[in-house]
Amino acid sequence: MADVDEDAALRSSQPTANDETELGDEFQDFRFLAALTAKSGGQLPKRGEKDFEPHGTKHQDGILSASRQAMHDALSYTRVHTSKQYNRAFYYGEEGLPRDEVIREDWRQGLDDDHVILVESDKGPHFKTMGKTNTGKRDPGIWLLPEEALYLVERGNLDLWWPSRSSYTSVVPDEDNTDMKEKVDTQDEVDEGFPMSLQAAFSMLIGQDGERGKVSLERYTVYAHLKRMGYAILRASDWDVTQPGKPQSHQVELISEPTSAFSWLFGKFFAEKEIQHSQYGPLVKPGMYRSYNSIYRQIAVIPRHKPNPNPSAPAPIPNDPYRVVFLLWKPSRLPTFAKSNPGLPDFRVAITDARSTCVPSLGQISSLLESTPWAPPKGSEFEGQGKVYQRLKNGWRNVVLAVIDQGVISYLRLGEVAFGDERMYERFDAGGNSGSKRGGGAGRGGRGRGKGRR
Amino acid sequence: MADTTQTAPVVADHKPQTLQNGKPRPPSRFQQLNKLYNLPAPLRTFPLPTFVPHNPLSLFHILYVWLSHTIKRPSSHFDILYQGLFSPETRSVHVTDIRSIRGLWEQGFFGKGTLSRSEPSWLNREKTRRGDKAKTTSEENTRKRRAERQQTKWERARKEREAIDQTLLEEAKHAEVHVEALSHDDVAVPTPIDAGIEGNAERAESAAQQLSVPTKVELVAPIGPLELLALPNALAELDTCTEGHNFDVDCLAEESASHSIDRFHTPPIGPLELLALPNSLQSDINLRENSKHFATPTNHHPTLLPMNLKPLPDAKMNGNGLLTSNAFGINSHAKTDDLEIVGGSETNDDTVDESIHSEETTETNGTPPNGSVLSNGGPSTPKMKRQKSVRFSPTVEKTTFLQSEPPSPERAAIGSSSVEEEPLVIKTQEHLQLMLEEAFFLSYALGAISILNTETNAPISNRDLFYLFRKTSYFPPQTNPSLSPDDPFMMNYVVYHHYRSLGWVVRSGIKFSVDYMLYNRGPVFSHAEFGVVILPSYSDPYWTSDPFLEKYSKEKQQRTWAWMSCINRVITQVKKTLILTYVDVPKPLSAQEEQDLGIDGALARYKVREIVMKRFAANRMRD
Repeated sequence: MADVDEDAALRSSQPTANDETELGDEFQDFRFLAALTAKSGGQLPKRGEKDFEPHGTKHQDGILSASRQAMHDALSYTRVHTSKQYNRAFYYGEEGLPRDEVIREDWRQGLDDDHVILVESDKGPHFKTMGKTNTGKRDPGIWLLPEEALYLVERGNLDLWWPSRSSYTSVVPDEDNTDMKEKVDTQDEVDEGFPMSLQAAFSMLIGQDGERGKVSLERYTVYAHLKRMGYAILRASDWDVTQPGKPQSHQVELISEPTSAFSWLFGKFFAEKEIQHSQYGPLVKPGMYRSYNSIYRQIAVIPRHKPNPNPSAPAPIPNDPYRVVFLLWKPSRLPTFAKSNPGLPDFRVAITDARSTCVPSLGQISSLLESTPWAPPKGSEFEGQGKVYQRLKNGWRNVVLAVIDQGVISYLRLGEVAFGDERMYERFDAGGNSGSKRGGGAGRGGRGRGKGRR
Repeated sequence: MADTTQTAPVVADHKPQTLQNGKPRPPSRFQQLNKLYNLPAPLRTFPLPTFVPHNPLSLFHILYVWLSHTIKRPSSHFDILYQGLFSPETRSVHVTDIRSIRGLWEQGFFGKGTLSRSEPSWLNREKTRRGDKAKTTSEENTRKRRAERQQTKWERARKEREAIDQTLLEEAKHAEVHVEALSHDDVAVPTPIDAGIEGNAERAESAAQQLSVPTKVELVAPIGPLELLALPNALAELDTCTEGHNFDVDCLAEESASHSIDRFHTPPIGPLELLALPNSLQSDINLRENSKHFATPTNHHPTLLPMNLKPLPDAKMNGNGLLTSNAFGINSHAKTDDLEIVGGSETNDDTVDESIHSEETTETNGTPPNGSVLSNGGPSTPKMKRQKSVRFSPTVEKTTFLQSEPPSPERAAIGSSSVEEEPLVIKTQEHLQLMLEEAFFLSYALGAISILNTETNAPISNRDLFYLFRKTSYFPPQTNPSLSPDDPFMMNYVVYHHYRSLGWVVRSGIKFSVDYMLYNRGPVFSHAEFGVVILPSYSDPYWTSDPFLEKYSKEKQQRTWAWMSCINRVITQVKKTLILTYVDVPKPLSAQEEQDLGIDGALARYKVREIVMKRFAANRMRD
């Protein structure tokens, strides 16, 4: 609901309000629901002014009751499931009929251990981003992961059933399996199993991280929240907590610039002298300095971080909970999204519990960041002197961290930055010093002063 | 934080001396700033002039400058260093002489004026206060801006109020017409339905029950759950109700509303009247309770009923403070008082007292100096002695809320006379205070300040300063000479030095819930963009080598997510970006080893890593 235009409410009172500030999602004007069902069509209405106290006008009361009525109407709307969209699925988890017992091994090829739900048919738009087809069988079925199935069940898009022994063959008929076929033939009525309640679905599919065929509540909450917002979500390779995290697999080939003999020679010749500091003396020794550059070089004594696509001293492999578990693709990319070949994700999400974990230590955070690909601030929007802030804010690697507290999710974006790469002092010589005399560096007059600000 | 007075225009137009109408244009604000804050650090540089290819003479210029530099080598440091005094009591360094104060502020924005927000501007403010309009300071500008904003808010509140009143009037008129149309109906019984006007018919009904005035036969107390459910929730619903008694109740409410509006209502336009409006529902409830109290005796003493009923509608309407200004509070009070006199002995004193209590605050609010509002207030003065707490006295209101008014004449007289009588000789009572990190950076890294001992007045060497500051950073200061590598001064100084050495202007971020704020060039040029939070990191194997150290380092690193969210929220709200700055603490060294390393060696053992943290709004990142 937060994506309904919030700026309307902000416009008069707070011109300085941050565009990232979300109003509380819990205050809703339900009249917009009425507007949605009205003839005006599907355009989103504006949010109204918020009243803080009754001022006794009938007008206000009218609005209030209209709002109530709209909410009532919205809630009393009858949802209809047409047979066209009806989807049935069977649960082959550990606590029912275990998948590996019922289904032959060669038919399970291409599936993960967690693929425990078999869908009868792939009706509906959801299967564009969900589900996996098993290979090794001529007439394959679609298998779902627990979070995918639960999400669909929760939405009312999927009817989950307990299977019987014969359910699988009835869903995916196979001519090779003659004895099964015979059995089906002999029985007058096929035993289809029986439907599973929503409660049962939750208790079957929600568990601890690392349990087979289950998903933890935290991960499911994040999955469902992002899914409802329209993102395409797939599990990341570091999903399984029982397995150690995989080291970074996206090594970048660096094109090292060939050093010519000329630059080698002159590089040696003009190499900066190793700066010797006296033990306690001022780092900037008294004397004459021609530029601030040389002064600031004197005081650079603390090692600076240099981001590197292939870190020479890699951080330890990411550990629970600071590891990437979901890959996200923006909703705008959905038209071209193919689950078999999704391409590079837009975001990577790690999930942590707000109460049992702390803010990550440097080790944890650098492992987490190093498990994500190298994404330096490149391109026209990051180039130039005025874009220092943008470059720094973007970072060289980034990850989204979902901090979840009892079902409430707070998303944070963490990025690896290198202030060491942005030497602000290099601008001092360009303009600040020469002042009104305007000596050299005419082209750098702006000094990027405040240009980066919104 | 940025002194917005001095915030330069964003577009830097810096072609100087553009001729306009043949006269040289005075330097722009930005040029002035640029000239004033020319040096980014309290050090000078001596660059060689640029070589201009089409002007061969420039070569001679270069040669000349080079030669003169070679013959008489100037020093980048100022000949006389700035001076500061170390104050162990305040754990900061004080700079008292004006040259050092201006120098340190203008060349790198070091320190803060003790009596100012950041730039030491007390003297200027003081001069302005005494009538010498020499220069406006940022503090004054902020004050002016705040006053303007306040005025705008009043204006807006007034407009809103007027709009509401307009609606109320219209609705009341409408209702009157309605009532007239229904005048043949028998609505004889004057049921004191107060709450009806508030659209809370439920309360109206229950009030009616409570009063046990024989209104209508249909009014049966809704006791069962079904009946309660069936009660109308809103006035709008009530309107559509076809049942007779409900309708009557409504009409009555409307009638009394229009009645009272005609009598009392003047739109509260001035700030004073607005102030007198009830601030919250609470005060309104207080008022209502008051009127209820006042109504209850009618139950007990039916003989008093006719007498009591007469002022009832008025008092009831007063209780409904929403559409009336609070002057009615007094009004109702006066009535209560009357009642008390009339009904005298029978009235429970406690109840009345309580009711007065509940009204006290609003009552004092509602005594505006202009008597016109009070015209129908009646005997309000004797009531005043009853008040126990006074929130705003009328005079305070005046000075606080009427900025548009000219200052009081006597004050103006004082101001002008003092100026005329004696020339302004104001002794500076302000000094610049440097954080320990700033002082050490100036002394150790730049060598631009000498810090004196307050007792001996002798300069403290960098070596002594290093240990002195580290000891002082604990509270109480440590006497133990073995200092751990993660003492507060070191952690802060490492980060301070790191960002300063990259050319950022680093200032305290305590007002923004962080450790430091980073400015590009300085607060007079632009707002800070980054807020820095220092987080220690103990990744050296030494810190996990034994259980005690492991526990220690774990505790030092632990930060809750709630803490993090607080900071992130504040920083986002002020439009900054949060930078988590991790400082990797090395393992401790013996005193001898540390001495051998020197300060630069000790600093080089720390590692600084920055992580940028932002809120990720999932619903805004969709495309």
